[in-house]
Amino acid sequence: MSVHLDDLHFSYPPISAGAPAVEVLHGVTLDVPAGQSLAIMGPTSSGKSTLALVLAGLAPSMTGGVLTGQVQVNGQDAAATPAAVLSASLGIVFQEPERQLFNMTVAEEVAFSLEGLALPPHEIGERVELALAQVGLTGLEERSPWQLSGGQQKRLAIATLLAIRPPILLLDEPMAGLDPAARREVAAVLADLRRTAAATVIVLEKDAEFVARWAERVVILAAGQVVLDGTPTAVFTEVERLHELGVAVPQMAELAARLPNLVASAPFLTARQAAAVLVPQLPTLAPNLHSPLPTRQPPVYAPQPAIDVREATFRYENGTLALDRLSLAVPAGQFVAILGRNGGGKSTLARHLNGLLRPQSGAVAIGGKPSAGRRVGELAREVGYVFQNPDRQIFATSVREEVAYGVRNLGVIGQEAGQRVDEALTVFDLTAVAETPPAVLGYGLRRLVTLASVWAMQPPIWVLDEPTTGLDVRYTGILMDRLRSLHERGNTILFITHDLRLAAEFAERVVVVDGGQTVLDGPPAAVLSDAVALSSFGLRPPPVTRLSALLAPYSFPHPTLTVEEFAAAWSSAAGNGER
Amino acid sequence: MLFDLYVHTDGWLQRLDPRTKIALVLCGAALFVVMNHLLVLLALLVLIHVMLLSSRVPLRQIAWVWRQLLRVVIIIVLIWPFFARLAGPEIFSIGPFTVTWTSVWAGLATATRVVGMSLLFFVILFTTRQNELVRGLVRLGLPFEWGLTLSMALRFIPTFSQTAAQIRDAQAARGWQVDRGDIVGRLRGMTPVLVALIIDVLRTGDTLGMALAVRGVGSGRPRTVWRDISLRRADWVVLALIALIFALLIYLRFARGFGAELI
Repeated sequence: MSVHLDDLHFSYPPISAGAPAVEVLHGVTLDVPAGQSLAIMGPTSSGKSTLALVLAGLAPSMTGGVLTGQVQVNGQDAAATPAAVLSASLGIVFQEPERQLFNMTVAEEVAFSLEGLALPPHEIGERVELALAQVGLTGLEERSPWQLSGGQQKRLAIATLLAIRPPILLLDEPMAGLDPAARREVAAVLADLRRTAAATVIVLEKDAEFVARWAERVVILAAGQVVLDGTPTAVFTEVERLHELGVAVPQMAELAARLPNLVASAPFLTARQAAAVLVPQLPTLAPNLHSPLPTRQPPVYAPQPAIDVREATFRYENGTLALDRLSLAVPAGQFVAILGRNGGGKSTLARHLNGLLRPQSGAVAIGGKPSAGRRVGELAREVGYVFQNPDRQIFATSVREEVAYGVRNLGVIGQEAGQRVDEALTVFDLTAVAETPPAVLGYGLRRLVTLASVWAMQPPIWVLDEPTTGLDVRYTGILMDRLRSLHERGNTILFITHDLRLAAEFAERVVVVDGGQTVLDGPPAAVLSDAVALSSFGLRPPPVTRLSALLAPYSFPHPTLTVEEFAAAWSSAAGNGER
Repeated sequence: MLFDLYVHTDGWLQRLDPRTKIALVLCGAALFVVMNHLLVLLALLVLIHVMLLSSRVPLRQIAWVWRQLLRVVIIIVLIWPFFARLAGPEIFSIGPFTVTWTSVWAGLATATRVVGMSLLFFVILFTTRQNELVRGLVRLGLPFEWGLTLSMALRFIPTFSQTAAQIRDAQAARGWQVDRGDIVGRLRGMTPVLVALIIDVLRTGDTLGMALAVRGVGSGRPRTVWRDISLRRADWVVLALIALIFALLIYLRFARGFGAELI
């Protein structure tokens, strides 16, 4: 056994003296055989991250707290072995690569782990070369780790552990914060590890599409206990259960659960597998498949654009051309999803909308008035900006203070300010934690606090920079629900995301930004189904759209953008067929 | 980038062992302290420029140091003559202040010392990779943990400054303005940025501690060094030259009074 857990309990020390200890693991029993590729999933506060720290020997030794039960890692008692010693048996990659890379060059970063093993210099050199080749970073040896892209940093963090050659590798959310292309890079490295089975690989991950393709075994952790354990196919069949728990499900598994007449057929997790199952069933539906999809009604907007960017050009001091004569007009009340590679100009564009950056040539108009000459604080009245990382703004001593901060800066005082804050707290279900310091809340709640603080400022335009990064299904649901209701009230929403499923479900318009220009722009059905165009910008259509493309030759309606659309098309045809 | 000052060109200083450069800088600094003659100090200053330029450090880089020091230099040169009160040919006097030529030369000498010693410091920063510098200090007896802490501090300066910029942006987007009122008001105005930054630094420190542990720091095992620095022939030649010139100048200074007087 690589890992053997028996009735593992773990509690953190209380946050303040006198408060009760916080038990996060309640009797976890789990055996992981050598060479297995295991994915552990679970909602926020399921205890996943704590389990990772326990396995690496970091909890309780570095976090404090009380552990009972057995934890054996490669035959050693993880609770009694110093982390530095245990690291030869189990290597762990943390979520944020920028906090675990601390050397001056890529090669030295990898070598650092090996110097600690007291290997002779020539062997260190060989292992560095090999580890970098394994993760595809050959040629970047002398670069600074912090000048790498997000995907490269993740792969470097993996290489620093591969070089140690531990029998067990543990990765905490390897896909977090990466764009789709970078995810594929990291997934390729992990697929390689699985193929060679040289090590036991345990991945804690929220990305169900990745887990479905990669894992041999999936364990679902909820409230500190193992609640499901099996092959991806077996676990992802429990769609309803997983929804209840707040665990993401591959889109195809969701679809399988929605197609009523598939009970006896083979399960599927990817679009290709789904097509293999569904194609044979199509002939019976064929006569009814001529009715086209009900087209989404194109909404009517006010003629005055809320956001009007004209030929904006912006070059950073280091010479990077981030916006290259980019133009984008957004009518008031539109919900726009902005997609594209990291580094393509999405965030730079967003920062032009509230004046944090000013175009070096071209112009930006907000609410019909040029933004030139208006201060950021002034534009804050019209443009609410939600940053990717909630911790960049959280500073106040209570959630209420944090939410009131922006309102006060707008000059709103007295009763009205109080009312706005109360309303925002209610809308985001934060009333219960109103007096808690926001910094000690969980990540999902911290995100909600930042949303509430913008909500209270009541801007007509919302700009959100990858707001769902790091959120589990439940918090993503809350966030999207509130955005939908803002949109229904006529607010303009500009939503930067890497999640094409969200774009497909919520946006009225999809814009792809790459190389500082808008390269694709149109209704979701047109942009998100264009697999060829998307692929040149590192993107792929959502699984259900890929599936309808595979079924299109059999005159199945294409494109379908959501599970609901596909299921409706399928069951209307099937329903008619039975009659 | 502002914080990594290393000049990625191939010059003779870049190729030297960091310990050789540390010796060079210490001896140079000592000469700036013991020498008093203005012309000797200026000669040393010129020598530093010659060294930097001959080692392919761009003029632009040196000019950057001068720009940083310009204000201090001007203040020293202007204020020094009023307070030095050195005896000598009088230029003019206002109230209690009598300005002499000697005081003016003394001001220039002090400014030369400040610029010269700063530039010496930058000789190391411009021509040495940070990790090599730390390695050099460790080889000179600094404990490994201290060296590691020092190199990580250097490493995370740009990260934290980037974080601070992001925090400023995030607070500005909520209408934050700092440019109000007196110093106390401004400091108070910085709270939203400082608190968020401190929280980030603490979180980073936590993760970093764990990241170090799982990469084997603190196992108590001895470590090896992958690419260790070593003193090559060029280093020994330069060290010998430094020793010779330094010994000669010190001998001349204290036995013969060379450069002992200001003028």
